[in-house]
Parts: sequence; structure tokens; C-alpha cells
Amino acid sequence: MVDQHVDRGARAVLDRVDGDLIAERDATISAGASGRIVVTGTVRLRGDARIEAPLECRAVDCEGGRVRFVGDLVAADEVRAEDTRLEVGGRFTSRRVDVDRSLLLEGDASGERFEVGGTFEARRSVTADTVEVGGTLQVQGKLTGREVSVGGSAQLAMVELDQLEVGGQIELVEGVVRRKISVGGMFSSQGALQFGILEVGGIARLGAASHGQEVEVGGKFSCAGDLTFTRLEVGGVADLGGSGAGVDVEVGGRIDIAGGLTLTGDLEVGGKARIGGDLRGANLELGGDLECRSAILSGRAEIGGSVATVGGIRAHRIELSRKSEARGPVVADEVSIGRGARAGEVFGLRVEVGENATVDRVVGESVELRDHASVGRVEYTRELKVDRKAEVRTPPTHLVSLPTFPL
Amino acid sequence: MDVGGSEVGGGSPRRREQSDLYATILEVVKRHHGRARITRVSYGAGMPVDRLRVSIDRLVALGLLRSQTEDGRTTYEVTPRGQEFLTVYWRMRAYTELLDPGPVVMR
Repeated sequence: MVDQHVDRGARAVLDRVDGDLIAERDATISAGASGRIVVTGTVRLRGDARIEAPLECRAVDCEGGRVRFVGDLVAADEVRAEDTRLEVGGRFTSRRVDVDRSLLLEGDASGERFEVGGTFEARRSVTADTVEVGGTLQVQGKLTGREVSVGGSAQLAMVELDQLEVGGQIELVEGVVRRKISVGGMFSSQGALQFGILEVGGIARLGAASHGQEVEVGGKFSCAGDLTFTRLEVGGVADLGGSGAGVDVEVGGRIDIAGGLTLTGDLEVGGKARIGGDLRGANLELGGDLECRSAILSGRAEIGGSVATVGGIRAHRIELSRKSEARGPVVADEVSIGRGARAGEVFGLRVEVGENATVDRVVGESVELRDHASVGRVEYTRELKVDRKAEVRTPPTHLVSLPTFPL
Repeated sequence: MDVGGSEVGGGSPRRREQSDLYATILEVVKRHHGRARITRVSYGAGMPVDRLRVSIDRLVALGLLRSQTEDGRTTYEVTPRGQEFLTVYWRMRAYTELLDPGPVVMR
């Protein structure tokens, strides 16, 4: 085995080196008749260098400067580059890659592990088990792998990953992240994305036709189209451009859904919920107003603000809080109209109208009107209890059986 | 890279606060799983080493980073308190955006 040296600023023509290739600063190396260079050992580059032919070796070790491999680079074991801007113009393969400063790959790349301190830019596809980047990652082709972790920002096209972790912000086009996407700051995807868990500290924007299990966003969440999920938890504001389907939704602030929302579990909203279509679910707990075409819930509905529906709201128990207003029929086994609230038509087995509440019509098995409540018309089958200062504006009707309730 | 700055809020750029700088550093250190060397962090955070060292010393003093020396090399890792800072930082950034909504520009 004889190592080959290339002097500082020299140009060398090589086909095969049985040993290490050591090039001093500003070396230029090209291939002879074979058109490619084979080094059985390590290629050690001690500063700026330009390799003008495809190169195969065991390892590459760069000690700084700008190093450009014009053609393919295959380094069986590893590529290490300290304080180096490393560029590969052709296809790139290496088991382990460890670059301090920046890595630019212009062809398809594959390896087990890529570790880059600063910037990693790939103009075509990257296939790797793990990719760890301190600063910025940009991949224009498909990124396939197990785990990708980026400290700063990432711009990705198509992904097929198990896990994706970004400290700052990420934009991606579409793809699959089977387990978890974790982003400190901002997340944005343009097209369909399939994911396990999406956890974003700040702001998340999902493209249409996305599908995931759990979504947890600290600030603002929006989805351009339909979304299916198991759990959607948003600290601030949630916006869906289409319809939503899942188990539970919990939103600290406001939720705005262009289509319908179908849940098998609960909807909890701190502020206002505006749903363009129908709401279906188990329980509803709402701090503010509810606007939807209709709402059918199998459990309880507790509404802090007003309710505006076209088709009505139905649940096992509905509680309208004090001074709220219900537009559209209210239907439940148990209905409680809070003090000072206003409602149109109320249907229930047990209906309680609170003090100073005003209701146009109550139909129920047992109806109770508190002091200063005012009801336009009462129809009941079992019991009507009217407090002394309550008012029924027309004589109550005692029915033999309840009519069919709306919804 | 810059996790602070003008990406959010549209309109006029948000002045980069010290907290943005600290978050940038902590996020980069976090990626290195307890093996972050200062040169690596400087490439990731896009800051010169001398300026970075001042911020890192401050983060260590505040208990947001922990340093350790192995084979004569100092490495850094994010403490649970540092992770808590990051969680609160990103949450606050999002609430700031909710209170002052402009077009979100992502680059």
C-alpha cells in the first residue's frame, strides 16, 4: 500500500490509489483513462480542493475550506468534514456523514447517518436512517428515512419518515410521517400529509386531505380542507377549510369550520364555535357562542354564550347559561334555560326555565318555570310547575302524549 | 438560522429579542443530544463563536443549558428548565401572533 500525495496547488491525474490519497490546499485531481478514481484507503483533503471525476474510496476526511467533488462520490465508511463547505455534484453514497459547516448534494444521496452542523442542501432525493442538522435543511427531492431532526428551519418536498423534529420552522409539500412530527415554532404543509402525532408549539398549517392521529398546537391551527384525526387540541384558534372528523376536539380560543364536524367524543371550546355544516358528537362544552346548521349530541351540551342553528340542537342534556340566547329549536331529555336567557322553541322531557328567562314555546313532559320567567306557550303531559312570579302568556295546554320532537 | 425575526406577523418586521436568540441557541443544542460543541452550535445558530460563547455562558448561568467536559472538549445540553423555556417561548410567540394577526410568511 503506497499513499499518494498531491502538493499544494498542484493538479494530479489518478486512476487508482492503493492506500490513502492526501491532497494539500488548492489541489485539483482528475481521472486518467478510466474516467474514475478509486482509492482503497482514505481521501484526506487539507483545505480547498476540487475532484473532477467520480471517486470511490473507503473514507473522506476534509480539514477545512471548500471541497467540491464534481462527479459521484462513494465513500464506503464515512465522510468527515471539519469547518468545511462540502459539495458533491453527482450521486453521493456513504454510511456515515459528519460535516461541521455545510453540505451541498446535487445528485441523489444515500447513507445511514447524516450529521451536519450548519446547512444541508440536497437538490435531489436523500435516503438515510437518520439526518441531524443543527441549522437549516433543504431537500428538493424525496426524503426517505427513519428520523430527521433539525435545529433551525427545514424546507422539504416529499417525505416518507418515521419521525420529524424541527426546532424553528418547517415547510413541506406532502408525504407520510408515520410516528411524530414535533415542531417548536411553525409548521406548514401544502398537500396531503399523513401523520401519527403532530405537535407544534406555535402555528401549524396543514394542506387539504390530511390525515393524522393526534394534533396538538400551542397557538393557531389551520387546515386547508378536510381533516380526519383522533384528537385535535389547539391552545388558540383552529380553522378548518373543509370538514372535520375524529374523536375529541379541545380548543382554547375559537374554532371555525367551513364544513361539518363529526366526533365520536367531545368538543370543548373556550370561546366561539362556528361550524358551517352539522355538528355531531358526544358532549359539548362551550365558553362562547355556537353557530352551526344543526347539532346532535349523545351527551351533554353546556353553552356559555348563544346558540344559533337552523335545524336545532339536540342532546341528552342541554344547559344554556345565564343571559344566553338560542335561535333554532332546543331539544333534549333535560333542558335548563339559564337566568335571563332567551330561547325560541324548547322541547324536552324535563324543562326548567330560569329566573327572568324568556322562551317563546316550551313542549315537555315536566315543565318548571322560575320566578319572572316568561313563556309564550306551554304544552306538557305530566307536570307544570309555575313559580308565583313567573308568567305564561297564553293558557297552558295539557297534552295526552308528547308530539314528535324536531331532530 | 433564525427562529425569531420577521417571519410572523407580516407588516413591519419584529425586532429580534434576546429571547429569540436564546431560543435559537437552545434549539440547535437540543439537536445534538448532549454532544453539542460550541463550533457546531455556531454553525447551526449562524453566530460567530466569540459572540455565541457569551450567550451560552449566560444560558448555563440561568440553568437553561448544562455544560460538561469530556476528553478535554466542552459539550452542552439543554436542561429540563431549558426545555420549559422553549415550550413557553413558542407558546408566547403563537399568542403574540393571535393578538396581532398579519399574514404569516414562512421562508
